[in-house]
Amino acid sequence: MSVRSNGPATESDPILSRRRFLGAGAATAASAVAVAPAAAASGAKEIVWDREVDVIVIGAGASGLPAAIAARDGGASVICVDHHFETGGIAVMSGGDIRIGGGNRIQKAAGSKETADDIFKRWTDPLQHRFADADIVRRFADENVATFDFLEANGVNFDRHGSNVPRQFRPGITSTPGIRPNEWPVRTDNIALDQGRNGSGIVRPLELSARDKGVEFLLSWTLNTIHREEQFAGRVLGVRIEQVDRWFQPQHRFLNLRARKAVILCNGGHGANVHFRRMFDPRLTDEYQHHGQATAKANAAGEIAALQIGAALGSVGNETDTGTGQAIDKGRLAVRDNYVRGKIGPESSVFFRHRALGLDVADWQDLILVKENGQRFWNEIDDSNDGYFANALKPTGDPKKLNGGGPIWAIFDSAAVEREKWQTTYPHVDRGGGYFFSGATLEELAAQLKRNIYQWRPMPGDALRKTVERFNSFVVSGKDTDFNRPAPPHKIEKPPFFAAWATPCLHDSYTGLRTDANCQVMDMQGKLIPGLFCAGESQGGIKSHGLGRCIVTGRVAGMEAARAS
Amino acid sequence: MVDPMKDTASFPLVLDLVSPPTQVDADCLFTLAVALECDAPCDLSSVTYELHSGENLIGQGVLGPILRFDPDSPDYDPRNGPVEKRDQIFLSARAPKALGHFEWHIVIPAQSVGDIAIEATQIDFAATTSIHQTSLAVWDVPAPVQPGQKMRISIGAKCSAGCDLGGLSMRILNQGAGVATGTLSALHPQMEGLWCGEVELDAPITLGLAEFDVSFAPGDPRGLPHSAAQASFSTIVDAPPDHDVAVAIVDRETGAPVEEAHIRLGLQRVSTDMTGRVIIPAPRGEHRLFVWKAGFEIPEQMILVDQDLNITVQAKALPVKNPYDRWQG
Ligand SMILES: Cc1cc2nc3c(=O)[nH]c(=O)nc-3n(C[C@H](O)[C@H](O)[C@H](O)COP(=O)(O)OP(=O)(O)OC[C@H]3O[C@@H](n4cnc5c(N)ncnc54)[C@H](O)[C@@H]3O)c2cc1C
Repeated sequence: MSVRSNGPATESDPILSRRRFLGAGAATAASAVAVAPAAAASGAKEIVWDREVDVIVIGAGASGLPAAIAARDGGASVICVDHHFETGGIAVMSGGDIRIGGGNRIQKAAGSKETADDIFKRWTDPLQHRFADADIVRRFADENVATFDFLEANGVNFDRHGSNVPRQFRPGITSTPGIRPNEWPVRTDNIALDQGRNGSGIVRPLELSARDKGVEFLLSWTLNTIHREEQFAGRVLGVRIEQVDRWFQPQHRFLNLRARKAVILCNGGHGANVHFRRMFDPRLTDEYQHHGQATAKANAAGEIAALQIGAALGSVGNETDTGTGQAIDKGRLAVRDNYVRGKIGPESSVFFRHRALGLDVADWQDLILVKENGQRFWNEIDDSNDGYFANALKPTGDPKKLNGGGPIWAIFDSAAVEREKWQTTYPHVDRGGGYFFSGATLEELAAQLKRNIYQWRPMPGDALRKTVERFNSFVVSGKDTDFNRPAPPHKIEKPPFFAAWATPCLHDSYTGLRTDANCQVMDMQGKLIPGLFCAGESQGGIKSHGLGRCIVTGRVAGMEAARAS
Repeated sequence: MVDPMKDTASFPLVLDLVSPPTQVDADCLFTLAVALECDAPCDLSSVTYELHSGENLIGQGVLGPILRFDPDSPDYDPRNGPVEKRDQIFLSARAPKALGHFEWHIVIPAQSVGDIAIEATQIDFAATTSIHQTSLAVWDVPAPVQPGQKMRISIGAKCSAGCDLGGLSMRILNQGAGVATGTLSALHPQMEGLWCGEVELDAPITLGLAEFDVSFAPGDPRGLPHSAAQASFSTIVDAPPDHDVAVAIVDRETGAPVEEAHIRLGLQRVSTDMTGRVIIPAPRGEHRLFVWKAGFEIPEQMILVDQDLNITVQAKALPVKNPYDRWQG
């Protein structure tokens, strides 16, 4: 792993320590691990173990790092495995807005009276959170304050983030939407190098602390199989992992790792696994991308491996209850993962997978959105997220594709490019990958879209032209009689014309493995599977977005795993 | 593989077409991507190939530069990683002039590269030739216009195979009747193959929306059949202005001017300048005044234009959306 930072470091500085550890970690992984032959482990008795530790954590993100540290704090030896070549998971590019409260140090100092009961009430609200597992939420609520203290004790610093007190902790306010740590100061250690990616201020210090405490990391290894005594009975013995390349592609080199106490699955959910997510929402066909997929691909490996040894899924109703952001509205254009904040540019270590910065839209009056058939479907300036998403997912009527309504393209002309001051070249747009096209006429533009792998049939050029001509007539007359967009001011007429990827992206997994309140995984009979734990987005139970639930459940899983016999 | 009869190794070469086109423009150059698999420890770029149509040799050349599988290339993979891991070459060939189905054989004769022998191999390619498609773009259409006003618009035409369309003409129709003709006179300075011309025509004399069609029937330039192309455009005919309406848009809270707000007064479309102002010539009568600026809420109003007017519009700045609100539930 290359170390790119050049921050202002001193001997006692955590930044320096991170660099030291990164170098050391890579060496440890290489020397300590003997690579096993690629023979499949058919039954528990024949397994040749390459390594043995107390606890194995799969995933080194928002839930995996706390799990690893908490297990280590509990006296366990720990190996943390991740299929990306760096730690941090999706959390490293997140805004770092952590939904935990319950009366933590900052809240108390600001006079907030929030308690664990308030947290419990909030995340079991009978309307919004009716599918939550209240046992898990109760434990989550009770662990909020201790987890805040745990973060501070492991180097996460909240003090320099000015918005915490005024924004979230006004006296008398009991609901705590979020609290942010300081951003990790070494920009080059981060994935999105522009400001505001405060999630880096969680995972970078946690990684340092974990390494400091002796957690060993195996990076660029993916979970392949969970070993259990019998397929559906007995305790979990360990895992088989497989080395992957920079594209997460298997390299056919395997290791069997034995877990004396437990395996904890913290692999970030299933958003990027088309078939897994379509079990809950059949509309989510493969054109929909997943935020953060270039950083940490949430491919449900943990869930699938656990289902194969008899695990159950939990609180699946949460997943289809789209009220709180499973999918995102109109985002950035011309890049397949179009999250609106956090620019991933060529200096980022994952740019080769992300491929473009994308174009930010200042005024949605500058374009129209069309589906794969070249037809509009929405008032483009309407920001109602759920309405947009529902319409974007409606199929276009072809019997060959009755699920899912994408891809969706933003269509605009050179005058719009000038107004928006967009740059239509590398690294701003992803032309090579097929997410941005230009053409002298609309027909020529439409003909090129077939180079995008998700454009499952050619877009008829005359359909696109007619859509644009009709829209232009609305500009002239002042009335959009199709979608009621108020007095669209700009025609789309001046060549060249452009098509930029604008298909909505998925953001969260809200269901996963069924666990008890200690994060121990259950089977289909409701029995706990000895030695198997799960946390973060791979765990079912809580429909709270993001970091808060992942960090808290990760820490709980780590503590409980260390206690497992 | 070692041929016992020879003292040099002989290597099989496996060819495969990568996403070959099924339709190509007649008599046009097109490119075929061919994947190569060969264990020969030599550079294959000098290997010769032949192109056969039935028994006839119709072309030959050397494979040329080989595109190696490169995981770091920005064009490496549009989705999730390696899709095409094989080395590739690109053969350029001219499609037959005759329209319809054709079949070719790409043949690599047995040959040696240095002292390494490459075995003969062949792969077939079939496709259909089609007539060249043309398409149009129409821009700089003024709106609104006054009855009978001279309008100058720009029209561009493009051939899918990039043929020269210079000198060809197109017709403008209004309600099915020809109202003007124009000639494609020059290539667009920035866009390859887009032939452009300006056309002058008279606006209709009746007030209201006016729709026009452009029809382009290029016939057979270069002796090759081209499809006809169509496009439509619209404008709106408004009465001549009688008065000036000066509009200023200000932020309701701060009093600051709102620049680049889009304004529509009746049929006129304009934007405010840096001082948040604009003067709009308007015909007498009652008109809707609609103002749009992203991030502001601005109620629309009806304005009676019976003299020169000064209007100030209060714009309410909307709270900046907290991106995290979405997850507060
Ligand atoms: C752009 C963006 C902004 C966000 N902003 C916020 C915010 O401000 N506030 C908030 O609360 N939430 C936010 N989130 C959500 C939050 O980041 C996630 O919910 C959280 O990181 C999930 O934690 P996790 O541990 O489940 O997954 P991750 O943090 O993604 O960690 C999972 C880890 O598992 C690894 N992994 C996956 N599969 C395998 C496998 N097969 N083998 C080995 N390892 C594997 C991954 O590489 C990854 O490192 C944001 C998300 C995104 C994408």
